[in-house]
Amino acid sequence: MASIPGTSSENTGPSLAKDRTERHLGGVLPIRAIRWPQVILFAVSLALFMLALELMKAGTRGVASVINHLLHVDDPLSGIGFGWLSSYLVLSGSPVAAIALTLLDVGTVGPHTAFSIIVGSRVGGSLVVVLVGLAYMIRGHQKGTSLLVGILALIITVSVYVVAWPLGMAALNASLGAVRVDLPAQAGVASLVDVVYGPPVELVARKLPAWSVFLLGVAATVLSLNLIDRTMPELDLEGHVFGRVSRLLYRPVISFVLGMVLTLLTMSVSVSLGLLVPLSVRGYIRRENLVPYIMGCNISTFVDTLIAGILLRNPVATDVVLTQMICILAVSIVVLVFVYRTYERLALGAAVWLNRRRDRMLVFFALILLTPVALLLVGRP
Amino acid sequence: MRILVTSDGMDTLERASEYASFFADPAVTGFKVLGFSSDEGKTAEERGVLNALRRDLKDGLGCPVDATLRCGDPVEEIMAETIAHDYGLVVLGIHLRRRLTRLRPKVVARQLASRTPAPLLVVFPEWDRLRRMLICTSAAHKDMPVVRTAGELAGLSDAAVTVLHVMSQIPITADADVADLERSAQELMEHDSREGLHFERALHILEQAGVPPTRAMAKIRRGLVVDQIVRESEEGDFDLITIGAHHVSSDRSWHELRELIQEDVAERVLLEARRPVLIVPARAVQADDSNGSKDTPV
Repeated sequence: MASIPGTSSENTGPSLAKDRTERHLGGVLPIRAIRWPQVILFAVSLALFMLALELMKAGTRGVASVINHLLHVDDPLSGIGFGWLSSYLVLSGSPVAAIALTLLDVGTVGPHTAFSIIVGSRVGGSLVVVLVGLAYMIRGHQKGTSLLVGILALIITVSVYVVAWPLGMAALNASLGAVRVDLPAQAGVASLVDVVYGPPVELVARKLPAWSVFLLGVAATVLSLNLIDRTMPELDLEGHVFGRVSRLLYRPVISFVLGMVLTLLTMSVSVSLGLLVPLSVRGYIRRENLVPYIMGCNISTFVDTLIAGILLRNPVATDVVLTQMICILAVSIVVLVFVYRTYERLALGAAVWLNRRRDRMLVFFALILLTPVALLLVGRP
Repeated sequence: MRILVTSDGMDTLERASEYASFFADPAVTGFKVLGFSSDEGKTAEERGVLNALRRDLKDGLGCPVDATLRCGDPVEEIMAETIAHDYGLVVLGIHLRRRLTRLRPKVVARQLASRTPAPLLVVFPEWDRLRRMLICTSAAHKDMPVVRTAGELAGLSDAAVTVLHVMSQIPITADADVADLERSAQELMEHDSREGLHFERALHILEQAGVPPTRAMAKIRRGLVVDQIVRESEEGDFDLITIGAHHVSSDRSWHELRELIQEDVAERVLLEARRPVLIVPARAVQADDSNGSKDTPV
């Protein structure tokens, strides 16, 4: 079975149904039995991710002048533009969010700008799904198949962030420590990271120019996050009670929670969305399920960024991520509780309207490609 | 078949009785009018109104009509009545136009729809005709009792019938068959798609129930289910919307969880359509389902 553009086919279709003999963990979670090679690979990926963050920190001074003086990423608006465009370059939002936290950690950008870069990275990350869908369309697949879900995901992400961003700015303004959570793991992680990664990173930093150390860190971040995605447990919704009840999922709050939980388990919005595919033998998903599900995905997709914040041992970085998660959660809950039906109609209506005609799509793509450039230019003197 | 006519107040009872008379037929063996007293001081007055209503109905319908006035919780009283006697239809008159009372039909109708063994027809005083019926189905076998019940009532009232299925699905895989999502009802039937086969069976059931093919048609709409049902009912100026009650039987596994996660489309249609709604209860659906095939996965 082919997968939704931008999703991994490994977690969908026949592969989910092929081996029913594998037991579910405790019969409660739709997770297949523990595979130790995956556990080991996860540990290696996490170690690589930590190394990547340390490399980026060590090499930041090599790109600081580019970021501050050439691109002028020194205010929130240009931060959004930078994060948005950068996620196009790496075809994902998560590595850019990790970069933002690294830049914050070494003082290249402030908390507000880091917050905004993460916002931009998430919007840009949503667009990647649309762009891959566009590639499918160009290769001859039908337009409706390729683009509608991606466009909807982008519309939902942008619309939530339009409110969550100023809310987060205000929260950061009010008090950076207001939502500070000094996670107990941070102290232990700090000493461990210094002991394990200090010497090799120093060695690399001495041998290579700073900018190349930074780029090496970015490449390691992308690689490690991809590896982490691959090590996430396979979920079998089709054969589990969750799968049977999910056919009845119309209540938005339930779809929202399901999206949040499954994305937490898979650490990927696209993989999480793909998990719904086996529930429909014809490759369809109900509109009623999609909007709240994507809203839920958008919250727990921050878990890898939160891990990055913890690994950096910087409470402000953790604050920035938590503030973002709380703001998006707050906006999503307000939407779900008070204006959900209207929101659902508007979001779906806009996606269908855009998807209906090629000229509208062209204008849409032009706008989403040019907007981050415009935002980046806003910050220039 | 016996019909129970009731309401949440005396003012809506008269119109509910008039609406129930659309189904007057030799097949209907009797009516019972169940009124509820709003105030103990008004009991005598309300009893007089009820007796007058009974006489009018008896003269007009030519079949036995009983009338009873009760106090107490309408939901519990109606439930007790429908369990004690075998009714083929419960007609519930209710106000829906007043914004402040919008919660009431939600509470009363939902509780009744999920618990009464008989189909529940919720009517509003503002509606006094029955020319066109809209039958909403999810294109699953479990909806056939809904079609059958609506067909029988359409046969009694000579109403024209449209069977509506809303396709809310959108494709999520690159190899999804999007053609089915774009076909009309007629094209779906010609291509023997799942929805097309469902339509053919539904139209056959309607014909068996006394609705000739000239008065029955199938229709597909695309979009959000409740929105499209409401829009179709308005654009087509339908006088009655028929839909299956969403209820999870207590003997099913995880029924509490299922009940929690399952949104009641019938309830939302009832609130948003603002025109009469016939809700075919879960028990009728399950009884029929046990004799037939299982649902086809969507």
